[in-house]
Amino acid sequence: MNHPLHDCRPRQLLAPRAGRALVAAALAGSALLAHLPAQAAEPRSPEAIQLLQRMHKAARSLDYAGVYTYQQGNTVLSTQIVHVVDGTGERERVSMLDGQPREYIRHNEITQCLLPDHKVVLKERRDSERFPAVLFDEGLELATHYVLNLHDAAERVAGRKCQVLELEPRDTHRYGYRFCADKETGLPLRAQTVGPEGVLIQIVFNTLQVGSKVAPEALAPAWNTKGWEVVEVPVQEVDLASEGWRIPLPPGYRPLKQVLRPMKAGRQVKQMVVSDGLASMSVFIEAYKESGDQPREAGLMRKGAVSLYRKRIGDHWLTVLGEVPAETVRDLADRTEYVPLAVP
Amino acid sequence: MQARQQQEHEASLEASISAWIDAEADIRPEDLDTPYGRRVWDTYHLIGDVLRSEDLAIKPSDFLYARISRAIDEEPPIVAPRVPPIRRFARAGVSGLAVAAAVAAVAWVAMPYFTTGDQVVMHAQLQAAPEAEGLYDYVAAHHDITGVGPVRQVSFEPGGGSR
Amino acid sequence: MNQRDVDAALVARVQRGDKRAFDLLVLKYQRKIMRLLSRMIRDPSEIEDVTQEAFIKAYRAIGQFRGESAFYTWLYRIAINTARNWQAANGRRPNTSSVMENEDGETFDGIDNLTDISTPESMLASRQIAETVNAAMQALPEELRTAILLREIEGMSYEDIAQSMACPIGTVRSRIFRAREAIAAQLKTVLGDDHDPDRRW
Repeated sequence: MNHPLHDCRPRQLLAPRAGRALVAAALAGSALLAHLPAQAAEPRSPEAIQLLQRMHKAARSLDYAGVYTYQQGNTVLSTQIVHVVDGTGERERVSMLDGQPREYIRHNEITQCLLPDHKVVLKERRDSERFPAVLFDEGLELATHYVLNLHDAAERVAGRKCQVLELEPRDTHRYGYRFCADKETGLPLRAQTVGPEGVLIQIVFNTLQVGSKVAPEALAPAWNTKGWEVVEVPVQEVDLASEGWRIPLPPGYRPLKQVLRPMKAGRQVKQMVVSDGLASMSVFIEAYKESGDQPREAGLMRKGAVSLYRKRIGDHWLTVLGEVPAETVRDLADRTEYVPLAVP
Repeated sequence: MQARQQQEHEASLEASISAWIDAEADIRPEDLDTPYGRRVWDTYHLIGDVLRSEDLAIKPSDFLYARISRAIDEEPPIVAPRVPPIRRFARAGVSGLAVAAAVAAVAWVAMPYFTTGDQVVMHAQLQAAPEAEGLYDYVAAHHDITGVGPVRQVSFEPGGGSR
Repeated sequence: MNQRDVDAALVARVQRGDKRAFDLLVLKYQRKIMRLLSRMIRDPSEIEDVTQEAFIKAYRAIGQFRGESAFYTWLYRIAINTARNWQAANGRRPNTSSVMENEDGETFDGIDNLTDISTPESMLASRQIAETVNAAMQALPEELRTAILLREIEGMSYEDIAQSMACPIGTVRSRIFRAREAIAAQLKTVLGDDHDPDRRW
């Protein structure tokens, strides 16, 4: 690799303090470099990864509050978010400003979804909002599957200067992404999912306050939930591989979660969520039923940025979907096999 | 005499503070709510800190404590938050819980495809999917785990199925 | 009763509206917080500002403290978070060295470049304080020195110390108190008459 740090010759190091700083930087840098593929001689790839990690960390560890809009096709929705970190961890309040009123109050990995029209609190486990915590993990493998590019010219979003980072997919198994990260704090101010046709999804802050300007009182929910019913979604962990499912994933995608969950019609469905760090898909598996509320559609469909593919495999329905190109969900389903162990 | 009585009182105050720091006695909080009581409290903690670690032999400027104390005085009173603690785990009894998707406007687009040799050609055709509702459940379940704020929907209906 | 109970009692008072109880927590932990922040903030003149902000943030959040962890653990996480926010807001890059923590929740640098809380005056004061405490300890009668060491270093309860030193608990209590008083008397000159924590202006 041609990284300048690797050209350091010890004899040329300066005063010990500078030398220690260089060694420290090299140690930090090499942890990143170890994950870059050989062809990633793109000039600013390590910087880009550092910016991604800075974005990830900022979203989880800073205090911020603002309003962002989510745009897909002709749909524009606004959301207010307050995020505060105190001695107990992360606290967050997300309120939908459009459509039916709804709030999500999160404390670390427990989220309470407040539904005022039903007077219900739904309790779930989720470890963060997906915006602005845009990554599903540390993002160390991203350079393998995306070309990373940093723009020099700063843009302005929500009245703040931000730096543009692009991730261009190296294959057709995923879409591209473009972020504008706040220069001052690293927070993603704008996140775009980009397909061959152009921008598919855009999430962008309209207003943002950071740090001491955020009042923790803003975490309080809009409604008094005394007397509301508290419901917990009964979700169990499952292991699809051990049940005989062979689901080959496209390069870079790893399983994040495998659960058994109830669907709206009350039936139980297995769901596996996979991700490459940015893109994600869900694979649903359920027993085929002759009658009932089970959908009957099969084949390949798109809905806005979401691709969905459904097929029968023996006695099961397989549904694969995600914000990924259509072939990706179809290929995954077509390569899936069910090889249950013979029961003696 | 008053001086000695004063001394004895202070001696027993200091002894009480010493025991309370070690969690070996209760103390009337008023005893600590005096400048002298606070000085004793501070000094005794300084001693313990320094014994354990010399780099805690720090002398913050006097203004620091005074500034913090004054800033606290100016803070509004403590208010407990209204976030409800989870009291019980209820499963049944909530019907019709589906929250209509705000992002439901776009119809499903079916994409029939056909192969010519190795090439797969995508051919987009607008086709209304009759039971889009059911498909939408999968999308909602996907976004439940991966989605962004407004895209996340409440999709499940408890009480309707087997556990 | 144990150490957590002392803090818990103070926190409970603060939650009921007693601001002076919070002052006691500030006095107790200000040095530890300053030392923690000195590892994250390079400019010594800014450490006290961030210390102040951390305590104020803790006061604002204390209504939500439920005792799931020890108070100091909760406080130091707030301090780390305050320092990060402050660094971000002031355009400072965080240290390349990671701030690691040991099981007691104390932090230490992975790479050896500790920042002193070092103005020349404060370094001098620190050295004087440390030397005074050491000298005073050496001058103590052995039974007083042993008692306070078992309490402060070993963290033993009075009852355990009494067993260890084969004396009544009342004697343990008295020895520890007298040790503290003797050291405090020596510190008066170092800390000076200025050391009035209640002075505000």
